[in-house]
Amino acid sequence: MNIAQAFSYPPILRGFLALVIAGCFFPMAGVFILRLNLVTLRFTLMHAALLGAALGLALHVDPLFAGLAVDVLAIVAIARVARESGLTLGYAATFFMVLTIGLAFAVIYKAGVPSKDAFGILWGSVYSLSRTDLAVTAAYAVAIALFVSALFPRVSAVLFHREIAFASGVNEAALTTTILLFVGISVALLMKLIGALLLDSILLLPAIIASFTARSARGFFFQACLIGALCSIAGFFSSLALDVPASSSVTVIAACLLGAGLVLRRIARRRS
Amino acid sequence: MAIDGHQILRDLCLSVSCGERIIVAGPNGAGKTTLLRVILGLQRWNTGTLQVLGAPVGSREWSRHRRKVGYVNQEAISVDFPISGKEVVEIGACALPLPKRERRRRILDAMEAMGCSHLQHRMYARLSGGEKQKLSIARCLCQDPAVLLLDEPTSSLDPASRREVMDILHDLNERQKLTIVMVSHDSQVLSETTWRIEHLEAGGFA
Repeated sequence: MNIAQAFSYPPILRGFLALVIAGCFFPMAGVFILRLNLVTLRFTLMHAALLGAALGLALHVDPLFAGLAVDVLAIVAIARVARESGLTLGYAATFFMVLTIGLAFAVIYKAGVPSKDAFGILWGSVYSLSRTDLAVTAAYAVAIALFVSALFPRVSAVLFHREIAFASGVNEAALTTTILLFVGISVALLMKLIGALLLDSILLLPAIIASFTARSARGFFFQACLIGALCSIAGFFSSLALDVPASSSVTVIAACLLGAGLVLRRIARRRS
Repeated sequence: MAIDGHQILRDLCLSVSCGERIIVAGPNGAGKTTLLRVILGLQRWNTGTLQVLGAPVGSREWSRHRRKVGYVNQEAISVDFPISGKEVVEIGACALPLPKRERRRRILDAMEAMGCSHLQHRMYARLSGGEKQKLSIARCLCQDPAVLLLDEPTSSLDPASRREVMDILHDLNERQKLTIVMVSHDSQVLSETTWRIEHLEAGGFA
């Protein structure tokens, strides 16, 4: 099957478009995760999305939207608990990670939800996206791009140092909560797209690679998106060529780029 | 005020006039940084009153004045984030309702005033401590502040950079009538300065 033939199938075309959109824009959320040290939060959101999927299946609601909704609620709760209790976001996220997975198992057991279906949200597939999924992914990509570009100096202030952002007159609490919401939605959408276990290949790895090469905050965002786009496009076509799952090939390419980045960084450090 | 049941600051009475320059000195753990954080509204306190620029800290009126207080902290020195010198200074103007052109002019003016225009495109993390402090002060100048709060701005600097930063602060106070409150336990700075010095020990002024 050649490329033109492959694209004549709507699920493949939709999957390609969603992957390219995600690769181009979602690494911005990776920059947020990296800079605000939200790695634990990312795991919490996966667990919250699982709870959402279980609730969705129990209530006959689309698991993607239910997962999104629970992620958003979890973000709001984590931000509030961290602010009110003085806990770090990491500690607050750990608390909610345990809570959501506990609730997810309770819902699965009590509502008789087939666990295979609930855990299906952890795997994801680019070829199983509906038109609505694609539209939601595209709308979200526009939203995060507008957010970062329109509020760039404020966003970079929060990423630089939250207290300095506050002292500069930025509504740091509201902006941090908005950033957390973008991270939450990114995680939920990527779970559907390439699965929970591989979402870092689009979310985090491009941002990590960009952190080696970027010399400015604008460059950091731009390069992360460029690398994300490269990984997703190259990953998609290599998956067609090699007949392997798209998520796997995207991940392998991103990991290879990260490895190359580490080697180049080491060489550059030795020279300097 | 207390944090986690430990009394950090107590029985404090301090008045700083407009255009005054003052150093709050004291050993580590005396509560110097906490005092600055309280003034900024970053830290809540239990009892007493605190006014900055005539507005009670934490009030709605204070929220409007908040941008008139520039803040240079110790931690910003060690930030490891790919951000350029110009972008750091831009943070100071980020919440001001200024047209793009005016904002850009203000950033460049502040960098020029601090003698750090050449650092515009340099990566912040790779700069020396003195260069970072200059950028931090330029960032505050972008805010067009009335008050400058500085937390140990000379602690990680070599003697030449320390003298340069102190000269810049002195000059800003003289020329722009900026009120400067600086905390320090740098004996070199304290022995050379002509500024008003208040000693903080175990949460109270000695």
